[in-house]
Amino acid sequence: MKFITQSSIFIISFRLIIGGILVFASFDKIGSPDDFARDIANYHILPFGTENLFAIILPWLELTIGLGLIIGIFVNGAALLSMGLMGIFILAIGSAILRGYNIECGCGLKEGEMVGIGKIAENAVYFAFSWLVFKRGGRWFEILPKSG
Amino acid sequence: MKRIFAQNPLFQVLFFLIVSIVIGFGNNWLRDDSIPLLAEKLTIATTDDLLSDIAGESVLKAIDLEQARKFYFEDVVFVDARDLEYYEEGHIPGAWNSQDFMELSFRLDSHQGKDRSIVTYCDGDDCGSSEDLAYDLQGEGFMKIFVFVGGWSEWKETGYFIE
Repeated sequence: MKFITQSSIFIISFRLIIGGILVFASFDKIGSPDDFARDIANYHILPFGTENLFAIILPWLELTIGLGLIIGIFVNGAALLSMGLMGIFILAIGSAILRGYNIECGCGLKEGEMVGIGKIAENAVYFAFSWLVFKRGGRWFEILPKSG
Repeated sequence: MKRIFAQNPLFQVLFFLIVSIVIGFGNNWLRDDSIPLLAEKLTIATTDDLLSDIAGESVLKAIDLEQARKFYFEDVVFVDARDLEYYEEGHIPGAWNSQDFMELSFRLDSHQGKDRSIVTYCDGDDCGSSEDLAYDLQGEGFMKIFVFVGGWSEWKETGYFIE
């Protein structure tokens, strides 16, 4: 595992992959918050009504941490939040599958994507990438905080 | 001191959270299609909503089983918002499926124009696809859309006709 966290190529690639996915996923949600709110509501996890608050904030959180990872601003914080988001997505999708819901994922990557084991595996990979970025052994192409 | 603060991951997490909250609320406040901070449930259709087939402004309301049954006997178009496999297993007789949204929208428009009533339904109280479909149809300019909240489960339980 250490050879990965010590390798600038691996770490920068992971940052670009997760960052790119988060930024891309946020566009659709920012464009139509009402659709995203209904996707969240379909999971029946949150108290009724609060899905709108999440639909307003979550896409911007994805966008800012995605940009943070790509540009190299507060990478530790961005990686931690990315792990948190992926963890929440895994739990939400898992609970929907266990309750037999056949609903749209609302992941923002592809139109009409449904919840399924594949989405859990995908998010688990992104979780692992984020964790490796957090445990990285050096700071490569990072703007903030300034080192030294 | 400032540098140590900025290097703390918890400070960084807080930074991202605050920035997202500020931009999120600001953007929602400024945009034309902003959403309320807390979602509201679809209200049940009133007699006024149901009476006329031509209305000045768009109506998107919920209906119960009794009203759905009335609409059914008035030959209002029902659209099944579930996946095709569930539709093929059983559906309200005459209901259209919504697999291809653009085709559905085109068919509805050619069949009855945009001012006449349409009923959408999915599995029951817990599903959201009938409401999603209703909003999508509203977005396409259809004026009177009713979501049959009880959906297929309630319809089937009552022993009404099924197909």
